[in-house]
Amino acid sequence: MAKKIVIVDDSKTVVATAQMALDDLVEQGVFEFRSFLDPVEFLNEVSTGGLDFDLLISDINMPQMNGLDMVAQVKTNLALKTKPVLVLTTENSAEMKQRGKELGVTGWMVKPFSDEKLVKSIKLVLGI
Amino acid sequence: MTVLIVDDVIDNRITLSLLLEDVSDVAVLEASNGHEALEICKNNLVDVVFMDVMMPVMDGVEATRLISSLPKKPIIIAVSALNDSDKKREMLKAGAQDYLTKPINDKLFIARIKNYKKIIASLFERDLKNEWAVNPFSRKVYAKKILFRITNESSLGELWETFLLGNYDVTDNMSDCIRAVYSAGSLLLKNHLLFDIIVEESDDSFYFTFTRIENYNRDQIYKVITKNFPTGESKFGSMAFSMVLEKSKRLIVSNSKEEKMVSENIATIPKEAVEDIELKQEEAKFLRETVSDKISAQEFLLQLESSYFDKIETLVEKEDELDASMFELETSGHIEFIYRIASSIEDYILVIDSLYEFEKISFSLRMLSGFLQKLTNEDLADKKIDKLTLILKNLFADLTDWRRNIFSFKIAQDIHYLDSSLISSCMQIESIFVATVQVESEDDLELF
Repeated sequence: MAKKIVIVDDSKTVVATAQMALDDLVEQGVFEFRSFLDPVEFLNEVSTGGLDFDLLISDINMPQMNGLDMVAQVKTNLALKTKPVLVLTTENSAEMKQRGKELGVTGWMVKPFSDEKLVKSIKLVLGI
Repeated sequence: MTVLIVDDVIDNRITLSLLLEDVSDVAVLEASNGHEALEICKNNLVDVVFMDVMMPVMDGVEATRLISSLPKKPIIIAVSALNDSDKKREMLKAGAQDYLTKPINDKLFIARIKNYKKIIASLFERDLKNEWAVNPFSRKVYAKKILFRITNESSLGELWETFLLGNYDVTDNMSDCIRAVYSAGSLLLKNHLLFDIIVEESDDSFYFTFTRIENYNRDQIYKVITKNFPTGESKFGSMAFSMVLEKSKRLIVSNSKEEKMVSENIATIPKEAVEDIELKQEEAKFLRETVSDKISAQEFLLQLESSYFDKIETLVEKEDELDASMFELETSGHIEFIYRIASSIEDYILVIDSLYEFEKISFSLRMLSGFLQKLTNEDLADKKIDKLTLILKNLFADLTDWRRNIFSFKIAQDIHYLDSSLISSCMQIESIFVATVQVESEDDLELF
């Protein structure tokens, strides 16, 4: 069954690049892909119960809200708290990473990323 | 327009008021001596006074002198039967603007009145929307600005002289404000900084803006200003800062009854509030450090000089240009449009640079523009152009969103949120064309 990947990033460039990177695998039915440019919109869909995912990829520096704050809220959702979260960010500070670790983030990926690297990381985290 | 006729002889008053009946929109008041005239001017908004020179109780010269010192000084025209040049000089010195001799020539008088009407009307409808206001508080300032080019203590002395020894006695706080201006100026001079101070005025305030200062210590200046002028409001930009001095309520209100009401309502800032300001400064500093110097859009815009509207218009213009060029590039694939895009980016960078806070954005865009300009037709082969246009399109969309999030919607919690993303997007574009040997870097993915 196709694994559902959700990416939350305010940058249209990142979303477009990630989509491009996963295109082939989506066509092959390996993945399903959804993106959100607004973390608030994403959280709304989570709380109204509709949204489900197998992997969440999240940015940190977003104008509407901080990605780690968003992840913290997702982790309060019973159905989603055990799902892996991959942070995709330019942030590389020890404090940020520590906070991510404490929140239960699975992996920390630094931008810029290549297509291959992204796909590799996703497969690694999902155990494919 | 309200005209006051002052003459102890009733016939003379009648003559003038009859003449005035022929002029539209004129309300006429009368006084039989200088003392009455003064009372009327204190309690009404009088625009023009025809002041007879020789009168009992209080003569024309004395009355002119007193009425001239009122806040809303009317135009005073001396009227006399005497063709006495000494008296004329005395009246003009006392504050009269003009001099008429009796018997009054009807036509001349009407013409003068019509002139005064024009002048009064233009003062009333004074266009207070000055597009080039230097201060960040209000664009509604008079056209007149006073510029002090500060190069040493003596230049500051001139400013002191102008405002404290000149005719600017407008408010109790004037001396506090000037002291703050002087202290801030001295501090900058001590740090070997030269700058300008531009003073602007509106109906209810004075604005003192320090500009063209390279690298000043914001905290130091803030402390000096609040120490000397605790009740004043100030705003800080990267190369300028400004403070506002509210004019005394006395000047705005001409009616003594209203005066009393207003003075009761003027609250004095309690001492604790002054200390609060200093505490908040410390807190703010601490908070800023914890969140690594984040500035929200709201905070940033408050500090920005008011003339940024034109700059944002230019950014929007450039974004439209980029849209148009992107469309052409997508449909035709001509390299010409890539160069055009690079050129629009250069213009965009100029505006970004003038906002002073966005060096990283400027850097990324400069990198991008430089890279695009070096591309050749061969580079665009193998579908690379498709990847390029896709990323470029999204990059410009991100840039537009960023501009809106800060300047239109003002919702960005950190004005620098796009900095790193933009750098990596630009690097992503370069990676389409530059085959870099992908070294497995452990830094790229860290599993917890």
